[in-house]
Amino acid sequence: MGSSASQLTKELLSEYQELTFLTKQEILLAHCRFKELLPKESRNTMDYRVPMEKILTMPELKSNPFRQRICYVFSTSEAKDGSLSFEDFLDFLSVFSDSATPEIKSHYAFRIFDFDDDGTLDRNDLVKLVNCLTGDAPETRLSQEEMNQLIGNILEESDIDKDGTVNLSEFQHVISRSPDFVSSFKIVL
Amino acid sequence: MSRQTRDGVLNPAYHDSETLQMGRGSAQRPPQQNPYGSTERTYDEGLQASGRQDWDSAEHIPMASLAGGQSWDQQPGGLSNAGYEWDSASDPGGARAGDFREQERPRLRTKRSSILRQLRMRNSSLFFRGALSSSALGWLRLTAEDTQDKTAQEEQQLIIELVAMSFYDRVRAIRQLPVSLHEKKQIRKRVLLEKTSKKGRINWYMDCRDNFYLFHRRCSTFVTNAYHTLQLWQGGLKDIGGKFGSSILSYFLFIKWLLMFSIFSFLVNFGFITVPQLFDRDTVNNGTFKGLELLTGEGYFTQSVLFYGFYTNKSVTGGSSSNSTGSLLPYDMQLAYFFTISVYFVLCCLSLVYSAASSFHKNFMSASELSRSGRLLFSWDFRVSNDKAVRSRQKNLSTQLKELLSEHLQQKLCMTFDERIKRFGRHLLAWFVSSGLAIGCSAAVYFLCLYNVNSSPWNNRSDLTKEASTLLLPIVVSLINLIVPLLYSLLRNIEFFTFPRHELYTLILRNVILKMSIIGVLCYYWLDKVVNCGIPCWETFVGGDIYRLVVIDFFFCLFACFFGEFLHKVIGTRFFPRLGVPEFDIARNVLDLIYAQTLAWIGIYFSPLLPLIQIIKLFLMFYVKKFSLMQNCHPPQRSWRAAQMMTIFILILFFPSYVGVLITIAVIFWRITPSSSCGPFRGLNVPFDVIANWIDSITLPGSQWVVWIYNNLIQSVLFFFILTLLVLILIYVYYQIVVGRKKLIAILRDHIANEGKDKAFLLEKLKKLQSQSMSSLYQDPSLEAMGSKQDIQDREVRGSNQNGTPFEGTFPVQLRRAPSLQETSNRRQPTSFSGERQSARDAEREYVLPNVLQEPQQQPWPGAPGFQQAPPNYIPPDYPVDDDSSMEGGTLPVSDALAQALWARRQAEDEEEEGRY
Repeated sequence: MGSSASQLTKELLSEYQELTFLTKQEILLAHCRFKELLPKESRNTMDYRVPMEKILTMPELKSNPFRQRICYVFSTSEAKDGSLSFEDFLDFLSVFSDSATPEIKSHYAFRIFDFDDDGTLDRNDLVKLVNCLTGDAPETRLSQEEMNQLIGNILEESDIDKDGTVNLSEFQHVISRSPDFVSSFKIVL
Repeated sequence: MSRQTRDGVLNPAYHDSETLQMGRGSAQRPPQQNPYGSTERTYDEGLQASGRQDWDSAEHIPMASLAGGQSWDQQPGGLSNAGYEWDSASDPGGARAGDFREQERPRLRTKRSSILRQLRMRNSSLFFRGALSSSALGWLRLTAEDTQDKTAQEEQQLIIELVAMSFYDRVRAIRQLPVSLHEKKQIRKRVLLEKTSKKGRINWYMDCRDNFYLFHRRCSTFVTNAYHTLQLWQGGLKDIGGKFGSSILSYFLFIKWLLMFSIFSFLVNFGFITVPQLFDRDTVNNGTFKGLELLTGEGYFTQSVLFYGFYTNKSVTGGSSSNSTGSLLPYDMQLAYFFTISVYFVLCCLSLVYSAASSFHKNFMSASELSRSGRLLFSWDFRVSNDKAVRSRQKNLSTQLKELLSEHLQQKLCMTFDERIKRFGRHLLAWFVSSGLAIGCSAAVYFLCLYNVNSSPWNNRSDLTKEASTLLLPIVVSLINLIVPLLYSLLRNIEFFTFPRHELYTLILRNVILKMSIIGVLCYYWLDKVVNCGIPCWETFVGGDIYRLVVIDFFFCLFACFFGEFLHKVIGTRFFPRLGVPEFDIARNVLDLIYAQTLAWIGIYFSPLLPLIQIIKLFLMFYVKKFSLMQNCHPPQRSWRAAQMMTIFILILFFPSYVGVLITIAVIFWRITPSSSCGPFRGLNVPFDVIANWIDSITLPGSQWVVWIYNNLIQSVLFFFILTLLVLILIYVYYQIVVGRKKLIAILRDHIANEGKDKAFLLEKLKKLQSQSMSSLYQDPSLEAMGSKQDIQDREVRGSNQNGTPFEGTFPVQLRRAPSLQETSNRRQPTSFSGERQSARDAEREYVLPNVLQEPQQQPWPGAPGFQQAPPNYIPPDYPVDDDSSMEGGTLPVSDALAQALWARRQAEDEEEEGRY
């Protein structure tokens, strides 16, 4: 894809560099990869939205248990269908890049884990989160009792103001105490 | 609205939305009953009637008190973000609970001086609004106007703040906004527009600074771009991360880090020591290259730039000494050798201390309290992209969680005295065995060394068998390093650790002791025995020894990879399935790397080009290890606390390893006489004399300060004494600051917990009061005056029909968290309305608060000025009602009741605490 730079003008490129945590190379690579996802006839239009199904075929996301959440969180589509434009795609890569700050990472992690988009992690969200983490197979799923106990434990230690849900600041507090988070919340193209 | 200065907080529209939350059950309200309109009316009327609306004060009880400590506590919709700027001074009599805490607030609301942080706070709300799904908006019953209004306001504020920033800060601030790229673009455009329109006001300083930042940024992007193009092993690292996760990746990153270290030291040594030496044509190598030298470092290599002995002690001028018309300035090899090595070690020290400290700070200080379950849950490895790896990871996670839960249950297990004795005995035995092994190995190495040094005939070097016999010592050392750690890991069958973490730490400690004692013995042998046994050029001899140790260690690593892991896999898959596929042992491998790095550091003095060997070794090691990992191993079963382990490894690399090397080098520089026939320091008493000679020889008029520094600082005991004293004082001051901060954190934690308790308590109380007044509504015929009973019933039925909760829609008195609470209660009690009412009545019988209800303000509010002296316009609040009906009965306003109940609770708590002491 030698002609990839032809579509991204220099101004646009520097603007993207200024607004995201990505380097020039990473933006160009992202552009290449994004173009591969586009259908042939619309390769020249930059504002095309790639549908979620197509995005999920990327090897980096294919097996990720949170892949659909990621799409929904980063999609700016009006229809809430999880489709990504190139800018959404850059946004996604920027947040998951090496140089993104822990604050922004934990912010988006919170949104990814907030399955019902209500701004707090309540019991239902946590149940879904645990199910995502342990997989769907019946032998790995936690029993109802274990689940209750686990979520009780989590709420006990992360729900500082004891309102039964984990809000963003509480979540960020938890994240700040788990140093592995920043190194593991990364996706590299 | 005049009394409200904080439009965000007390904006009526804002409260409407809060009020509306109550009525969210009635989702089918016709649009003309837009709650915005209706409550706006109420609000105005209320304002006219009483001058004060107390219901917003009640509403703010929990939030206002929380606002100081926790500004992120946001309701979806982000409107409550305004609580962040909540200032109770603007609400003199209103928020009683808020006032109650007012004394503590200033401390709490520490100056959020960083504008960036403020921006983030504000914009998180901005983002939430943008990001909320329409269903959530509907759930909140926010109207589009509400949100748009608010958004526009906040955006305007944001842009004003951004314009005021310097270029660099602005770029960072915009980049950190948690909004989509499109919105960032818009914001940037508007900021730039604003900026250019204000250009008339010339600010020379700002412009200058902007230009500087622009320049700086260009430079830094250039550097990072260059770095990224040079990015080594990008693909390989990604593969490893995708298949094995971050913990194993950290091992390879460690290799990479060490490689960068070696490259740096190679460049320094090569540039400042070797290149000048190559210009010196006096010393020539007469040896012939045979091939075995690559392994032994003997023969040809002893007369090469690889080792200390080859370097000259003269000044290099570029030409041969006979033809001394060299065009270049004289280059003093003695000084160059001394300074290069010392500067290299200082730089190493700085970079090690920096990475160790930052990693420690990041991973230990803050990671102390979190239990494992939380850590497991919130740190899913997003790098893992292999399908199989994901599934195995999920399985591991599930087993770990299950184990953790069962562990949690069994933790209360208490040990009897006998068991304790037994356990202590087992540990003692294991330590005895391991220390015995370490001492035995060290002794074996020592005697082997002695034998080596006594039997080596220095004059007869050319013999091949003699040369090969020098390999004996490194092979034995490498064998020890290979086998003894395996024996150590067998010790786990003797002592049964309850926590795998302890087992790991013990294992690491034992291995470190073993390796360091072996290196210690070797150092003693080199610096004491070898120096005194009359070898003509002992530095080269030692350099050769270290070279062999490094090379043979590398071969043993390969050997262990191929035969250890490969055979293990073959046996595990073909013959004994019980054995299983090997697991990549990060701890052992990293310790091997640390051992090799220690050797390389010691060797730098004796063999300046040893980093080159290290580079080749690490480079090959990366591929070999990766291949072996991909082919033979499976991901670790237990979650590895990769980040913390890395900190420990860097600390080990620093403390026994680097500090030990530093001591060795210092001893060499200050105590050991260099050999008289070879090397740059020949003829000196100790290498440090180089500096003394140089100082004596300085005659240039402008450089007297160097002499002064040397005489008054470097050689002065007093100076170091004072320096040490200053450092100690500084450490003490910082220690005190840390202690103080810890105390402050504890207090703040208590505070938050207290606020949380208050909130839960108030919610509870509110529910009680609501149910109570509900039942009184039904019982008291006088209520007819306030509004038709039918109306109330209607509303209640509407609420119950749609939501199962009868209270909604009746009282606008509401706490921020109320929706979640209501939701949980919905889930818990999907009973019909009558059932609910019954239970509410029961509850009332239990929890009636007669004194609170009948004697309002009987107790003055402690510590609350707003309460003791009600402001002039303060009128005892009455029931806030969302419709035009108002309740003026014998019932005390909910807010007052709540406030008093809260106070009573706190007092009870205090008494309880006092009783405890």
